[in-house]
Amino acid sequence: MSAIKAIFTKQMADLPKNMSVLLLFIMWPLMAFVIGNLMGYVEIQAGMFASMLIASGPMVSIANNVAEDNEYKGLRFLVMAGVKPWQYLVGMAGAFILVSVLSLASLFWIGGVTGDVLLRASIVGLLGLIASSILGGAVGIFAKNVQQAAAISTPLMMILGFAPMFAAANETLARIAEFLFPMQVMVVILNPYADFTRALIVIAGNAVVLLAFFAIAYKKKGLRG
Amino acid sequence: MISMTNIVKRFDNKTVLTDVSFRVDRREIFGLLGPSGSGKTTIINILTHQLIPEGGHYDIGATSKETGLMLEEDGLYKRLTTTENLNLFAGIYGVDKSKVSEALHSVGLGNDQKTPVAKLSKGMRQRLALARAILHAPKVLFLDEPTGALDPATARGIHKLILNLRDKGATIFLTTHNMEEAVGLCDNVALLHQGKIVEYGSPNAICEKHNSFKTIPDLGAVFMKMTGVDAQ
Repeated sequence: MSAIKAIFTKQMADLPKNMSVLLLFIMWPLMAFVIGNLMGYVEIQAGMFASMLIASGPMVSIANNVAEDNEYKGLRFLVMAGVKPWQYLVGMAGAFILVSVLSLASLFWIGGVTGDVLLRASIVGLLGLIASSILGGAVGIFAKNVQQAAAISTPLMMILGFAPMFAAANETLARIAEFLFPMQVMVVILNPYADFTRALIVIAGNAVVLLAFFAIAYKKKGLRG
Repeated sequence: MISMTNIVKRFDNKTVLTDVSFRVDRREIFGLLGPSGSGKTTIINILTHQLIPEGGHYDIGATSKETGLMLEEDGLYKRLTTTENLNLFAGIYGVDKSKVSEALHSVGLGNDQKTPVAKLSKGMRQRLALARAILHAPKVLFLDEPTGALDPATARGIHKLILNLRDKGATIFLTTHNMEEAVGLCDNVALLHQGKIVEYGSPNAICEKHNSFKTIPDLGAVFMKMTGVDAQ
């Protein structure tokens, strides 16, 4: 427990100093607020940007940090100090999930999400953040360095983050996007009559598939620093 | 306490260590000497369980939490301050946070507790890496070139610190290119050449065996005298 707490605390101390990662958690609420107030439909903007936050925030930040710890050997010293790989990942993911939750809460506030919708959106949002974290862990382990992690996570972020937006303009894309967790999060936020059970099943299914990716990356590359 | 018996290590088809055997007793400072590429870091990597040898066996008589490590690649977090870097390991080891300041002072970084690692010189980073290695008062300390990038005054301060740690009960395993350092610090040394130990024993005994005593000009002492910098 002390190792998880120490890594969580270190990550929280590092985040304000890592501007490129910090921006991931600030820009979506900021964009929802600005664009929503300029163009109107603030609740739609908030839902859309919430799905983008969930797709990108934990995934990119965890991928970046794991790759950085691997490249600069910080992870080696943690492992040598007796930190288990799962403790390292839980401590790190915990920090980024917490920051994502705060960012998501501000999006819900901006979009005026309340009542039953808020409860359902919070549940699918949290599940989505976990799925995104698993994907980030897999990318971070797989990447040789920070540059490679960015090269993998950026297109993934674009696909997952923008799929719900483009799905509105293309029927084929909409059918595909339905099976992606960011789309389900957006649907639950924006539609009070959305099929909540179906959303949960899709997101849980996504998490299982991503967990398999994670297991493959971990088996192939390990997490030893 | 630390022992290696008939260790063999290969990378692909190349044998980098051949039948390496030695023993380091408790509270001993042991120096592994050898030219670059002779296998010194490979031995440290095996002893710290980062590499698995193809043959032989080894034991360090301490758990990972009782071991301190300072490698050439420091693994420090550049955006964090010196204190934040050590706080991380204090948390992992369950060491009181007051020890962090103590460790920083002991390596001469007492005035840089809020300095981000990115702003430290190479020598200061090396000292911070040493502070991290000794933070939890380890039973066994592995130091890979501990004074490699340091000026003579700071190096002497680090030597005092190493001797002090030994006096407190730590067993110290270090690699160095610096023969003066080996003679001044180590109880026993092993000379490694092309993956084989070619000489092993106390520095005096080895020099006596090879009839190799001479007066070495102590430039470090002159540097200290001329600059007035105290070695702590």
